Amino acid sequence: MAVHTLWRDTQPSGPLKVRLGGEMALRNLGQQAQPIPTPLKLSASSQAVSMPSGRAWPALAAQPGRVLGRLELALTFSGLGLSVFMVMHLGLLFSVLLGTWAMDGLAGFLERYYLLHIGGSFLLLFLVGHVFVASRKVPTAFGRQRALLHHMRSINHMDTWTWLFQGLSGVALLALAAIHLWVIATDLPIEAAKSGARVFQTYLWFYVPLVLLVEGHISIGLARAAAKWGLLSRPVAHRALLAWTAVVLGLGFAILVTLYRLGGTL
Amino acid sequence: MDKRTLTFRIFRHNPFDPVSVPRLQEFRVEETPRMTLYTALTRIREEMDPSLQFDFVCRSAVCGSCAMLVNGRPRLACRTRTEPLPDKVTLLPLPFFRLVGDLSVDTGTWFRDMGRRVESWVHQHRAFEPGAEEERMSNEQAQAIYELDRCIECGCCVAACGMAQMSPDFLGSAGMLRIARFLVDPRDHRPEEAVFEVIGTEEGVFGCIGLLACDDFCPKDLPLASRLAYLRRRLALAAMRPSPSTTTGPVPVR
Repeated sequence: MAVHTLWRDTQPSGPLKVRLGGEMALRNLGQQAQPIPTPLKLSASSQAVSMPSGRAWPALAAQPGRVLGRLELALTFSGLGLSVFMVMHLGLLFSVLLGTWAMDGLAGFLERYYLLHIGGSFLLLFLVGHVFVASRKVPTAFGRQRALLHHMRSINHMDTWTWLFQGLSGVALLALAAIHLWVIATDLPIEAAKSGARVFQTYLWFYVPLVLLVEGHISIGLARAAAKWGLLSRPVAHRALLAWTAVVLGLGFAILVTLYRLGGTL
Repeated sequence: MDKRTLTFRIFRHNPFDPVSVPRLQEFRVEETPRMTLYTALTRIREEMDPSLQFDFVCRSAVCGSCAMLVNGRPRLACRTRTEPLPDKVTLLPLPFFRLVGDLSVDTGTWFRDMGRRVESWVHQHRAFEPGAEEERMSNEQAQAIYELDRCIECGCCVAACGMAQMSPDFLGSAGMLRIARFLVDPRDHRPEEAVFEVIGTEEGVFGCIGLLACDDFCPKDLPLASRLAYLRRRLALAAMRPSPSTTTGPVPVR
């Protein structure tokens, strides 16, 4: 009796395992297609191959897929961590809308209990981790970049363009955030008056694109992550993105205007 | 309403003719009510240039043969009405697939190979018993399988995928959907590790950069985004579990 068994043992001594990955060279009809492997149907004399019970499967640790899965999660969680940090950062800046006393008091509290230093350390850790795992998704070879750009222009698809924005804004933010962190870290403690003077005197045209890029990168990143993991449907994710963008951009520019005015009165 | 004269700029090239040069050729066709691209192409072939190559079989979005780039976007010619299109329409063959000639591409070879890579058949660990009664399946299970089995293999999702344009070995959402179809099939006994081995790779679900154009351009409205998310969740969780090599228990069967 012919036995239709379509799975193969993983042991070298066992029957053939059908390994078909990587046989993608058949796209070109100029190359003759290989015949579909026949061992899918064993002859009557062959022993039926059954799922080996009680036998360990190959170590997934040896498979790059296990690492890739963890990197995929790390990308989302590092992005989520940075988003949480930025919400807390927004909370600190939001306090200046209540008055300079509120921002100075909150910043003093964070420094007194070393929360600023702890937060800064986590920020650096998440930032480096996020850049490391996100860079895996970015094509680096010229041929791949050219193919993708050609495709983007041809298909003109919103979520494809937003992916490009994520890549470009990520690179820009790496530079802008490094400058911002250096300026803040070399001028501690954080005070509303110092921040106002900075925005008024030199850094207004540095912070305007920084606010836009940070907000855009976080909003699009969160919406993409929600759709990517199936947490929200894409229409819901897009609507949530718009609402979040409106709120955060409004707050961000209100804070910038407040700091600019504060700097002008000094 | 005045009748429009549509200008079609159609890709022409015969890769089997050594003197053929890829070019765009213009054809003018008077628009008729409820005209589709298929109708327009048929008129061009019958009235202007019988050498124009394009594929069609069913003319009702079932066979998936007539997929092409319409002003840069993958669509089925038979279900694309000309009314919403501008006066000038550029028609190109689907990218990624091997060109047969003009607008005709060979999607079959890629889909056959994809089916082999994802092992697109029911995996059973029991010997087939021809005399045994067929196991029953609930209507819900059958519907769930059917929902994922509606793919007509037109290739629009792969042509819309940015990753596929960069990485020729990428399985595309068509390949991922095929695996998802077997995961809901109670007759399929492949263990999670097997699924992981096939699509838990850079050419599979972890290579996907989430552009989701596949979901937007699928002419059959298949749930590609939600199935990709499901597979990503499932494989990412599997990646976090201890390696089976350290366990001695039976092979986990779904």
